[in-house]
Amino acid sequence: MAKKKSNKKAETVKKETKKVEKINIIKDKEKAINNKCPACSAPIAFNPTLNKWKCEYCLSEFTLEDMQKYNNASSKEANDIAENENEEELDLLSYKCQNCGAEIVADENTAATFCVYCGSIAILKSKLSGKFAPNSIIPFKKTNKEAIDAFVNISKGRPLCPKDFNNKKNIEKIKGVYIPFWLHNTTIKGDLNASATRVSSWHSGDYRYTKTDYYKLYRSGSVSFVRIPVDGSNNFDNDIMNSIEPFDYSELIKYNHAYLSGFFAEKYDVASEQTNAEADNRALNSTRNIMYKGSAFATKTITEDTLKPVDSNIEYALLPVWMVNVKYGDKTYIFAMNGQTGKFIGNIPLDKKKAVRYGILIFAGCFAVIYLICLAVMLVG
Amino acid sequence: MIIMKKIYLLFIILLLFPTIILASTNTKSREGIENYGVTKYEVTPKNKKYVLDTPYVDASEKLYDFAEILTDEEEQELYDLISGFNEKTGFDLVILTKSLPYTDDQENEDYATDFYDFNDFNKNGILFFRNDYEEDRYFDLYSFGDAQLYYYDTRLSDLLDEIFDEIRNKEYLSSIKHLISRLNDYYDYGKLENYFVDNDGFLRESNRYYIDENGKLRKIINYQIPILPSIIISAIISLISVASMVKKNKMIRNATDATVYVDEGNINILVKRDELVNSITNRTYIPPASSSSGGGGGHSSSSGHSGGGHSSGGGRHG
Repeated sequence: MAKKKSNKKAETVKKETKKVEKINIIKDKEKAINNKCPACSAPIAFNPTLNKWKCEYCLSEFTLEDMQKYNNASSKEANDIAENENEEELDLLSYKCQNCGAEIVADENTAATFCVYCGSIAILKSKLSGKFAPNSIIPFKKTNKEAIDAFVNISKGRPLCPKDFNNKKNIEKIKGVYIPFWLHNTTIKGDLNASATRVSSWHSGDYRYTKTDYYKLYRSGSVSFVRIPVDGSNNFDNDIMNSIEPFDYSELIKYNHAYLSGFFAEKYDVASEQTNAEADNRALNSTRNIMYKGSAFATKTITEDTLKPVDSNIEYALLPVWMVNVKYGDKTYIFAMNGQTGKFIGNIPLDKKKAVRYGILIFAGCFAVIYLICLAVMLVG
Repeated sequence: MIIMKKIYLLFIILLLFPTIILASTNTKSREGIENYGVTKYEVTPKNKKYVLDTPYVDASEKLYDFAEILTDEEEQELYDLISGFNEKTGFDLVILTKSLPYTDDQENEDYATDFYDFNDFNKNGILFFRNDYEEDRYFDLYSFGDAQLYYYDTRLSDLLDEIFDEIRNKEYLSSIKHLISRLNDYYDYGKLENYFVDNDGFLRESNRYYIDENGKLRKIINYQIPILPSIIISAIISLISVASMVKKNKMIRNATDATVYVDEGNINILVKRDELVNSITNRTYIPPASSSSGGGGGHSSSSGHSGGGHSSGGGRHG
């Protein structure tokens, strides 16, 4: 009886050991890529200002071609091969740093990160392979410093910004992230009919005449939209991502994982179909505006609307965003900068005391001006 | 026989002569008299020409019938009534007639007021002027000095209306008698309240002007500024300004359109048609704005060339 029991125990231990081994095997297989300097083999990062890779140790600079030559960047084949990889492996949460061998822990959507021990760049290539392989990328053009400067200058032209809010010291965390975006190409087509009124009035003798014209408006046609971006990551607030638009798509280039070195990157966790509604709504609203552009009416009621998207297709792109977390008081505020255009957005807390002070000041100023005007009118008239 | 006829004619002419002399009005020369005979105003190089052009008359006559529309007897009758009016009110009353060609009503007013101002009439008085210019007969009433308080523009205008028919029918005696009787009535009705006449002869509202200790006309500044509306307007402006400042702090906004992503080369509006299907016009009656003068109020005009003021009835043609 006891023997049976111990046998059972031994079996369980055996099973568990096997399980651990299996995980270790997978861990070893799934190594993070560390882009290395072709000259000195030190980790190398993309430099947004130079639009090149620059080694901080030997100061060598490399173009995308150079990087590809030294096998640091993905070629077309590499992406194709990656497509055949087992998707199950993509759920792994830990990787081995190529530089120091330490374990890199990342959430399931992280595609590029840094080793917490040695600070090495770690690109988890498999996260951006296969169906997660982006079509294109806009590389960072704005540096960390520019993002900090933008935050420091945020009080300019904003009188209600709290006095010490834009202090550099309040920046808790700043990171450059390639955020997955679904770029929707779509054409909106259909009829848009409405009934409308136009009112005009005039005086004649002792009467006022009011004329109301009733119209039927007929519109039909199509409007095409190119690359309406919708953020494909649940980690980032949609409104923030809307607010940093637009990106300059003329700089959109073919995706290459080498651009990720030095930045964080995410893979999408919102399926492209889930973003259709947002893109379509935006396109529909704009189409309606375009169709009624230049027609001024007092009232307008849509009677028939058959507008709908046709010929839609979606591209997957990584777009550069600087995320800036600011701690002020006991609250955290999220700011973001378009990593390409430098557009800096976020909600600044209100300095209520300043608001009251400005309110009183403007009120007093207006009152004084009105008072003086009244006085002048009385003196003259 | 012929001699007899001539003597008879001469006799008739001699008989008519004194009548013509009496009916005409004597004027005097202003040359050599101090200030050209003007007592109420200073003669300056600017107004000298007008002073010399104005007939210089004996101010005690009161009736100056240059147009010769009244007979001697009529003048005598009116003179008594004028004296009575003068005794009662202390105001001069002057009747002036003239056949004066004119193109603009202002010429009548200038002539009449210069006549009053540049002759030695009382500072306070009334002038009735009849222009017997046959192409466009005209008459008007003017009041000067304190007489304006009793005979202000609206009252003068009413008086002109009252005598209009008689004047047009050339019933001069009865119309002027009527006028004098009504002038007496209006005096009894009392004077304009809250008004006074300044040193230059202009009618002024007591709540807007006063005479200071040096005899200078001063404007009363009404410090009643609309405080409540000012507060409301200031509050609205201040709220809008602060709201726009608050808005600047909120930069995160949801995007609802895709205007920047429109492919400009691919906008195909096939149908764009606005059809007018119906048109309705409504008419609303707006009552005309009532002019509530409330019976009070007067206004002085600047007199011809004296620099003084007077009130006028506005004149009538007829």
